[in-house]
Amino acid sequence: MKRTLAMLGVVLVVAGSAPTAWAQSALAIMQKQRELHRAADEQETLAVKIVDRRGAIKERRLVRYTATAPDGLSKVLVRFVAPRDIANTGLLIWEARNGDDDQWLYLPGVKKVKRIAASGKKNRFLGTDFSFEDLRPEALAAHRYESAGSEAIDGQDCWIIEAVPATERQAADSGYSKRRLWMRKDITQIVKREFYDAKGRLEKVQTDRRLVNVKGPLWRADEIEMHDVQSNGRTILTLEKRALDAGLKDSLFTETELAREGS
Amino acid sequence: MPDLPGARALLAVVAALAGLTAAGASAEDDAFSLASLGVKGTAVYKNFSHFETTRDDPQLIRNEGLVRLEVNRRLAPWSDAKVVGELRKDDDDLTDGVSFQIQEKNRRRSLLDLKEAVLTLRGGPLEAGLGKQIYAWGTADTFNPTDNLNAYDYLDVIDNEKLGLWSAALRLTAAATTATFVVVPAFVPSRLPLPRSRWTPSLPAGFVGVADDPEVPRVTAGNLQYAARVRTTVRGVDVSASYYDGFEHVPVLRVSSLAVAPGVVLPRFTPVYTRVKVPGLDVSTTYGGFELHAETAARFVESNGRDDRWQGIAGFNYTWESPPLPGVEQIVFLAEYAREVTLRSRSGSNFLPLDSLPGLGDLVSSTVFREALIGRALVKLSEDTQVKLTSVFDLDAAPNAYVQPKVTHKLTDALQVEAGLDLFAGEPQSHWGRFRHNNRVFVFVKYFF
Repeated sequence: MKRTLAMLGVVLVVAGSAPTAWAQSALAIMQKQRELHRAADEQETLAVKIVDRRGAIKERRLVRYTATAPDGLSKVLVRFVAPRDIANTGLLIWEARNGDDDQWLYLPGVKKVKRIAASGKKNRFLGTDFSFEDLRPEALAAHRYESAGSEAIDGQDCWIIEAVPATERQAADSGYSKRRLWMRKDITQIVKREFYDAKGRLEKVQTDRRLVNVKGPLWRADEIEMHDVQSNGRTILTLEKRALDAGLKDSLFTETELAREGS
Repeated sequence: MPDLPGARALLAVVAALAGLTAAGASAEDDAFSLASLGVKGTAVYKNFSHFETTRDDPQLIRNEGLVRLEVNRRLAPWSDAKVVGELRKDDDDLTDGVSFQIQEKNRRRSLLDLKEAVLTLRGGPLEAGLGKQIYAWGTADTFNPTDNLNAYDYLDVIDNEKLGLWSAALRLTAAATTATFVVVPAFVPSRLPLPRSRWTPSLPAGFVGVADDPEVPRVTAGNLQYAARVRTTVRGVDVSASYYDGFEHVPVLRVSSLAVAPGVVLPRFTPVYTRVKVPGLDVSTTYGGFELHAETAARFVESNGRDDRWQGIAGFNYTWESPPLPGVEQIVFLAEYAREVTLRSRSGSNFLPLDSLPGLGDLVSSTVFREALIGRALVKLSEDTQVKLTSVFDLDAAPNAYVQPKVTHKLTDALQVEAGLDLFAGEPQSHWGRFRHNNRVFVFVKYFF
């Protein structure tokens, strides 16, 4: 009942026509989306297929651990498990409310944990079409959201929300001048994202497929494709294994764990 | 030219390597593959081709073969085990038989070696690591004054590697803070270049003296070594404080005299290892697109040494994504400045000042970066191909430098080729200039299985 009322509230706000109301509603939708689909913790094993513009394919495998604290901020640990030359390479993200996350990279070759610069977030993550910032949770405080209408995708009605960096500094740190997000109205879940580069040109399109209702109001995509329309490269993440609310400990999201090899 | 028996042995290693690799590859689709057993492997072939011989070393080409197998096992939810073993051979006598020592003192490498062997036990915020381990402390990229636990294999000064260390480590993690305590029962010295190696400077003409074997600290309670490090993150800044109470891994020379005949007294040089106390500090943070880091340590002599020293290094990393250069995807820049200052020199000491014996003094110096400027540009041409240019300029003496351009190309995810040059320039007595006859081309082939 509570959820129904909340959704009704969102719909009513969206129905308003004043630009401020639209902006508020877009942010409210984003907040709702984040709140609805947040698990206390989550572990995913993903197969990664990278297809370059010539059609050459590379395959990788990674494990991603996510935990969200009661304050709503998440910690993410990503670790490659294959192929052998990059196995154990890991990324640790501590989300900050203003988007200035702490990020560290572990390089097994030198057995060192290195902090990554904020603007390094726009760099591509180990040859994939995903940048570091694509792998972090949506930073609501670091963006301004505006509603840009509605559109159906695969027969499902979606809100279109435009997200732009909230400040000049956040714009400088981000690789994107704008993102357009398509969010299914029935489940409040983003199913498509368009990423625009600093010059405002479409750079990448992310499409979430094979949506499954994993628990209560939580939905997840079992397949995510990131298409770089400028280079015509693609990265496809396919879920192999998922566990929700398994009780991941906070100690998993530390330098010690990031540097742990072979786990 | 490489000696033929050595080359044959090397071929045998490479053949064994290829066999293992093939076994791993053919078993890839089977349930019973190396990977399914938790075994990962790396096979490496290295070739170094020097442009000229040296007075003591007529060998121009060196070939090395190495197979490394790594096994990781989760023994229980609270315990892991990791073992890394190596099989290696070369045609320059850098390997010699098979030996297993807790306190590794061999001047050459063992044909079969245990690189790491660690049992990890966890309970709550505590974690204990027991066994042969490799540590990496510090935030700087080129040189870490706070990283003092492991010795190095310097048989090839440039292509050096850390030696595993038998030790016990206890880690306590609480939120953003990790405290590590390490105890080392047996001191392991660094493996220095062999006497007639091209990396060992020739003795000055007319030099007469007696050189002893190194006095390696024995395994006793008094020679236990300790280290501790506390690392935390505060408002986007990583800060670590560390302390090391142990031995320097590279010896200094103690000078005495030896009467070899009535009225004939010769200087006597005994390599000994300085016991030091090393408090250190390192920080890392970001500013805009820059990762900034600094690391410093003071080395206070407790025994068997002459100079208390301060060392510091600071620098930055910057990643330039999609630069407007044709064919370049990304450039990662590194720049660092390193400095060392002598805090106190004990006058009347019977330890040789590092620079008192031209050419030889630096050999036994652990202070490569007395004043140096380091630059590195890593140019990524594609996901498979990158070019790295590393340069180290020694500012301490007359201009002298080391430059290494290197190309890395991945033929497949499993097969990688590296090729490059090691170039040394400077006056004969300068730090890098004394290696000016060691300019060379190198090629590495790595296979991951």
